Amino acid sequence: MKEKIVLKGLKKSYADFSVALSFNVYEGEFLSLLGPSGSGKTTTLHLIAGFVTPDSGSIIKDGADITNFPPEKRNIGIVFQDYALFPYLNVFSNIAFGLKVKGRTNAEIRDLVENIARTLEIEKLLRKSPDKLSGGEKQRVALARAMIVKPDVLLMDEPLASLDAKIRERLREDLKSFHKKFGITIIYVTHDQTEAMYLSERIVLLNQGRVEQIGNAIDIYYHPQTEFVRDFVGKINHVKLKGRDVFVRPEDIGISKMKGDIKGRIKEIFYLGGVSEVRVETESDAITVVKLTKEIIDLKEGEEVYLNFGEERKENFK
Amino acid sequence: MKEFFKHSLIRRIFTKKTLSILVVFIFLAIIFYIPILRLLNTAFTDTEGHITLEYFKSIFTRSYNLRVISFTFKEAFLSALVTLLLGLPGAYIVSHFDFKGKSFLLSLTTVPFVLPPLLVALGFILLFGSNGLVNRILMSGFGLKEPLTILYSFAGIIMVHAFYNFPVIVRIVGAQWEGISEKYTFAARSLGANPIQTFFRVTLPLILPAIISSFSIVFLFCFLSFAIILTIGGASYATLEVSIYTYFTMFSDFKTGSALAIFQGLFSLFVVYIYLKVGNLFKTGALQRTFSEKEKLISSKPRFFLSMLYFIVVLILIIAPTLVVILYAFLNPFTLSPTLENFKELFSGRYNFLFGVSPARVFLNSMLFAVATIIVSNVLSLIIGFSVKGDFKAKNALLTLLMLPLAISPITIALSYVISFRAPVNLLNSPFAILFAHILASFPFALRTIMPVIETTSDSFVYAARSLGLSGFRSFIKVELNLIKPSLIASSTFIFAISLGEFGATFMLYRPQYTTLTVALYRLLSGRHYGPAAAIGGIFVIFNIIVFFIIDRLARNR
Repeated sequence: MKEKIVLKGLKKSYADFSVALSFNVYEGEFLSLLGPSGSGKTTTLHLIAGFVTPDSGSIIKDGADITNFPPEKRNIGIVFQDYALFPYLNVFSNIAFGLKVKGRTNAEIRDLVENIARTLEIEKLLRKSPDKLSGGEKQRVALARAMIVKPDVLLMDEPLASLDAKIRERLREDLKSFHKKFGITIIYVTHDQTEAMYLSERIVLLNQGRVEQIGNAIDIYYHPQTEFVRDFVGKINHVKLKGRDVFVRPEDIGISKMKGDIKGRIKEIFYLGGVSEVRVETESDAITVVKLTKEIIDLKEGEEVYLNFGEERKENFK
Repeated sequence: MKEFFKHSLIRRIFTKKTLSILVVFIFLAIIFYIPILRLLNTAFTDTEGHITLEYFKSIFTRSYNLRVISFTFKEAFLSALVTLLLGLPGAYIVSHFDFKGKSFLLSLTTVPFVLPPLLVALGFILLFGSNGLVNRILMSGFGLKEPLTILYSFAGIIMVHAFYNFPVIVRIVGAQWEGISEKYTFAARSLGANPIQTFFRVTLPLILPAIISSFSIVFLFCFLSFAIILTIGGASYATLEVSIYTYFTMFSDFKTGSALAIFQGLFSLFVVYIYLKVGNLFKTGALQRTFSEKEKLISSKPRFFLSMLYFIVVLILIIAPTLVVILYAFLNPFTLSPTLENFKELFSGRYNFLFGVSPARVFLNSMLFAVATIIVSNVLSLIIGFSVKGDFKAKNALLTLLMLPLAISPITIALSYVISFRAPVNLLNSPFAILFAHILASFPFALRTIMPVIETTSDSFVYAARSLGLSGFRSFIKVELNLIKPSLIASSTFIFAISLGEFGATFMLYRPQYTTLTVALYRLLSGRHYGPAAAIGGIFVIFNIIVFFIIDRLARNR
């Protein structure tokens, strides 16, 4: 696979915070930067876009060093959380902005804007003011504005974070089909792991300005390479088993009234629809088990149960 | 059934709150609405009482009036433009950089708000006048033969206006600029716009509402300029405000004066409308700044140097005239050696013929007017604040009616008093005419300071106090009044500064026994008695420093 962006020993220090990282982004890839707030996701994005200059290290795009290029010379598009549509321009002029500053003729601009508006199904919105748009419409307009100048890479800074849950799910699907349709390289910042796993081919896990792990959804969930990744991604149980420390995912634990590795008592059961969460207290630990609801339907709070730890899963956690 | 309905309706209308609002409006009718209506009546009727447009027409036909109007617009427009150019770099610096002394500089920009225009004029005369400090240095140090004419010219008027008002620009534009999310400029850059294109296509449109609204408010101040034109402009320059005054004093022509006042008032209202309308643009649309890494000012040398240059100019402009007043108050104006001679001279009785009373009495007059104004304006604001708390129909209309005095100039108020306060009771020989004018000048500010605090004070405090056994009246004194105490102190300080510095209306209405500090200062200035004028100026500066520190302290505590 061809490398689209290479970050080499990129460093930037602030008074109370710093980032230092290296990673590659492949051509046409959907890559997410995932991490808690303050992990350096946005700073990394701003470094790539050129809004922030690094103290050292380099940024390579298509084999050329662009570390010292100003943002307008990088041909890297960006879509922000809240979208930052210019409030004093209508949708058409927002989308046309990039072409205007490049000095394209009005006829060209009209054709190109109408073209991309048709592709993204927003031709009816062109005369509207941005504050009259819904969250989903704003996202499409922001995408159109960024895409019309044909950027080599598209950066997205938590574009779904300020929307409510239902809309977020729908727009997530929109984004996925958008990526398929345009085939553009996307670097996507989020603190939401489900979003990152849903959307991306690879995930870069960041913590305190450092890369913890790079991999796909399965890698980071089942093969975490650091303690941080193990604890940050999904839920994990820390169990003492025959004098050994074992880390195991809630859904990898078997639960039985008859026999098993440890005995415990059910403290609480949370029915969450199709799946349910069972909290079990053993002599030494509080353990969370996730099962299909129909599998645990005859268990009751206060009952004594046995927990089983399958061999193949727990071995993956150090 | 009908009886019951009537009963409840009457009860609903005559609640305690509506009654108190009614009382305030009756008072305001006496001191504002009725006089203004009578001024309208004067302008549109002839001496026999028939309706006529003759006086209103004369505004546009008499060449003197046309000259005055064109001068007023030209002067106000150019002053506001120069003010804008002087203020914009400041707005950029305070919104983009962090540096030591920034908060002090920001509080310094409030200084011109509490300085009366007459004091500013005094400062500039002492500094740049024919016999002022600058000319004296130029003549003795550099062998200049004739003093330079810096003041008493069109450029002089504009310079003083620009000094007086540029902090308005720094504050309003600076606040807007600082609040704009950097995402907009980032988005523009990533779309291929270079920094210059980004400024003109993104930043400028985003701060334009602030620029227009601050420009219009400065325009309004200069449009209504009176004391500065009278002292710095000299005889050849007259704004509308000055000519309304002249029509009254020189020709006893109430009718042309009233017509001009109405023209001026209508245009002022139009400017206020623009100010409010444009100020509200984009408030909902624009993203606010969230993440921000403010650069240190020292990050680039040329930028640091330019900023320092700007600050030095600004500091000279803000501080120098005030400093010069203090200097002259305590120095001999000819030898520049320290002395209390000016105060001795002021209190010697030599100038009592100018004042009509003793200097001590002048001082007392000013204090009494200020204290009375503080009491009345605060009480009015408290009554209104507590009565209109919450949402109801016509609240905005009611508040607009209450804020109306803001758009009416002091000279217009004074003229309307001269027209209406002769009969049935002659108030013109009493101190009430001046007091009422001071109340009108300060009440809208007091209301704007106090009302938001009352609005946001939760009722739960009162419920808690009542449930703990305090009576209604005691809970008002102990709880509510205590909660709004800081805003009361702030409004009292503002009112004090406004009343103490009020010149236009006072000058037009005063009788010798009611001479105030500003009137005395003006008398001394026009007689070119700069020593004792500086002494009065010194008194003003001391009061203004106190006012400045109280307001600054309150602002920091918030």
